[in-house]
Amino acid sequence: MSGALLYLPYAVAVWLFLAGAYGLVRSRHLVHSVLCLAVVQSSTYVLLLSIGFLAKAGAPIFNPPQVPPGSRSVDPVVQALTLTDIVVGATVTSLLLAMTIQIHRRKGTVDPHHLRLTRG
Amino acid sequence: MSLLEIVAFLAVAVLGAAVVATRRPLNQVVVFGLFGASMSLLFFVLQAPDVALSQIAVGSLAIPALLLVTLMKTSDKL
Amino acid sequence: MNDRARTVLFLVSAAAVAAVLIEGIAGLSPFGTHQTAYAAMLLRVAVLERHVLNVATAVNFDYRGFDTLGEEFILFTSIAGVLIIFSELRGGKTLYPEPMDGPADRGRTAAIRAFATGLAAFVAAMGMNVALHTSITPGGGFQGGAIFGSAVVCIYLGAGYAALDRTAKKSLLDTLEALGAAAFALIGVATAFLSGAFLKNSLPLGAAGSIPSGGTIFAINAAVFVEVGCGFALLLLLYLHQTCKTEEEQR
Repeated sequence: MSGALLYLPYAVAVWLFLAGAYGLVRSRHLVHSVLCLAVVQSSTYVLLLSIGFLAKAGAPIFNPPQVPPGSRSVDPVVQALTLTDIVVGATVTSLLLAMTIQIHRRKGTVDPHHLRLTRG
Repeated sequence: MSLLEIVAFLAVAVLGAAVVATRRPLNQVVVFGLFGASMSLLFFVLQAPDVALSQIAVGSLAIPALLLVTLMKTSDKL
Repeated sequence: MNDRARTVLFLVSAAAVAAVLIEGIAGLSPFGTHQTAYAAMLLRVAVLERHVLNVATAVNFDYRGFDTLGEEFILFTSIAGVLIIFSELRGGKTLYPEPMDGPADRGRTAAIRAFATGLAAFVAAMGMNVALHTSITPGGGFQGGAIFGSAVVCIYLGAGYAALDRTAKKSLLDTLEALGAAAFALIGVATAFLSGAFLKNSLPLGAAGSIPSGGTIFAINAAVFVEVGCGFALLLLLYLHQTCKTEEEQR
């Protein structure tokens, strides 16, 4: 039982990915679909940090003499990747929301089912 | 795995599903703020304070502010 | 295709994707049991080589600095995109919200205005603090910049958009953001001249445990803070500008 529980973090990442994708497919409002996309992005952060984790280890920040360099720590590389990605993902989300405002101005609706690509 | 880690992961999973399941965008903004808070708690539990700082600053302040302005501009009543 | 068909197609593909993901994940070692060789090596040498106590920062701005340069330019491009979209959306002259004795501002007493202004100053200072101590505590340009940009919302809530417009000039934020982005790339070019490799750490490293340590890590961190902070402030300013009515909407 404890063996299966050790795969829970990866299962949560897969669940978030598929749940976000499902919401994106079934969405009736563009802002709702942007937030579902954000959930899909979060699944990658959960997966990265879960892979980097080491049991009974501290943060990769040292503070001699209490925490000398070389103490047991989690992976710093995935943390560096994730923290820039969160901030940059927020600005990309803001670009998507600006486009949503533009679509509402031009077409009068934000329901993806009523928006057709071919009309100008 | 300690109990705290299990609870943090399950909270993220449940709130993520709640964000997708909430249909009205205005309610979804609030649930998304909660989801961001649970993510930052998870990042703390996974010994990643830098990442948690980013998530708090972005997911609970900047994104809901942008979402609320977008909802104001795209609602037909205004 | 109609709703039903789309959902069925999604469920079939989701099952296939889930199968592939589960098979891949089964090959991973269980949670918390494996440390990669790259991480082990970095944790051993980073403090000695770079005199920086926060290894994630060293990875961000030095060992994987080139990736961070790319990410920063994604941020820059997205904000430029928002700027373009909002500048062409505006039809007609903007009417600022009523002056301080209008109905919308009746709730904003002097106490609220004072508190919000103080809070905005505190938030901006907190952002600078987080960004400055990047070498010794959790923090960095990205986190500090996001916190710094949020001071704009505090001013808006406490004193209204007209006051915000007087405080934060769009042209100034714009220029500073571009300068921050350019500074990162120019530091890379300068180190190419100094030591032959783009973004190689060639400045004096300083003592581990002091604030200006890490050489180019500190310089790049400052450039990133200026860029992300002004970028977020500009972004929030642009969005909050959308809450004002234009002349044609008033009619």
